[in-house]
Amino acid sequence: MTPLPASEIRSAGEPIDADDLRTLAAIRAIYQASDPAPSDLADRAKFAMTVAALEAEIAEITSSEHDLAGVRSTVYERAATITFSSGHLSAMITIEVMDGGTARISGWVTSPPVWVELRERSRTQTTTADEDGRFSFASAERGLVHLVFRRTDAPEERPVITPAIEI
Amino acid sequence: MQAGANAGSLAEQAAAAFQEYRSGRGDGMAELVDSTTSLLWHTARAQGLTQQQAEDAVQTTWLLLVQHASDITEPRGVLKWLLTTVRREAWSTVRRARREDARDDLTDVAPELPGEDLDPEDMVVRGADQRVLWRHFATLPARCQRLLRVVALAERPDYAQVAESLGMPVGSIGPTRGRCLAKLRAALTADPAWEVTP
Repeated sequence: MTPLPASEIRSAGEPIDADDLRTLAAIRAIYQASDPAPSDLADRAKFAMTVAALEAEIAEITSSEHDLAGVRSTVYERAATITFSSGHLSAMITIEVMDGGTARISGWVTSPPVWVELRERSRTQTTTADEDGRFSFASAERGLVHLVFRRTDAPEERPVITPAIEI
Repeated sequence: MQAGANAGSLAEQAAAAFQEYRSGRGDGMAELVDSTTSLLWHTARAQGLTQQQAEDAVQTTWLLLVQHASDITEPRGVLKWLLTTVRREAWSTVRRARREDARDDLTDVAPELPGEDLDPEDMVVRGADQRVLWRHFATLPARCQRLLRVVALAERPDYAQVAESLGMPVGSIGPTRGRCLAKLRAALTADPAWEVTP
């Protein structure tokens, strides 16, 4: 790395002035126009936070595949397979969009037995994973959903929730 | 809100909203999410995450805030906490994507960050001023571009906090220019196409 000239080192210690603010404003304008946060990101975060108040453990999305490969997309559109994992379990779900605007969700979770909750905007559906860890929801509303996993044999254990996903 | 110094810094707004949330009054958390999500997004993207990875990192950061709200004793520190958390999430995503040992995630050593996922064709650069600026900005070291992107999206009084949250201490107290901005300024000043305001 080339050392900075003395004039730049001196300049670095000076207070930000009007020219700097103009420079920063231009950088801001360029990035805001070129790469804005998705318009629904704040809303999705707020939706997710209402569930996070459960003191649940948060699973992270470890991979997702869309059938619209190569298409730039900021939501989980159409059929998609998403994998989640947390310290306690991993889960994989496949979302298939059905005619009539609903979606079918089928999934598999490690360490059964677990209850699986599907939290939609306006309702919550619950099912139990079978002994192989398989579960499904035949009809989910399109929109934001979360999954919540709770062990049936250890109800006192913290539940595991996934981030909100758009289906 | 981004308009200028009069609006109060984002750190102050965030602190006020967080305090309101903690005291159980009003809709503090919603305000905090609305005012700060954009900065968190740009922080995640500046670490080289794809759009989808950045969305997940921002969401996870907000979920972690709900869980750790009681650990943050000083509301004025909430912006820094959020920035640090989203940056760590981003670094951990970068490591995981490379199948490295995810147990190293909590270290504060920056991974070799990938280049930004921005297609030059997607860049919206308007007017002569922005074109000159962008030409010089693009030649800065990658770490300077990351830092200035995030600093530019924040507010002037938050400069030091923002830089520090990115693991780049500014080395002096108060919002001084810092080396990255000094370097850019030197390049711009030497360019006759950049008109310095009198």
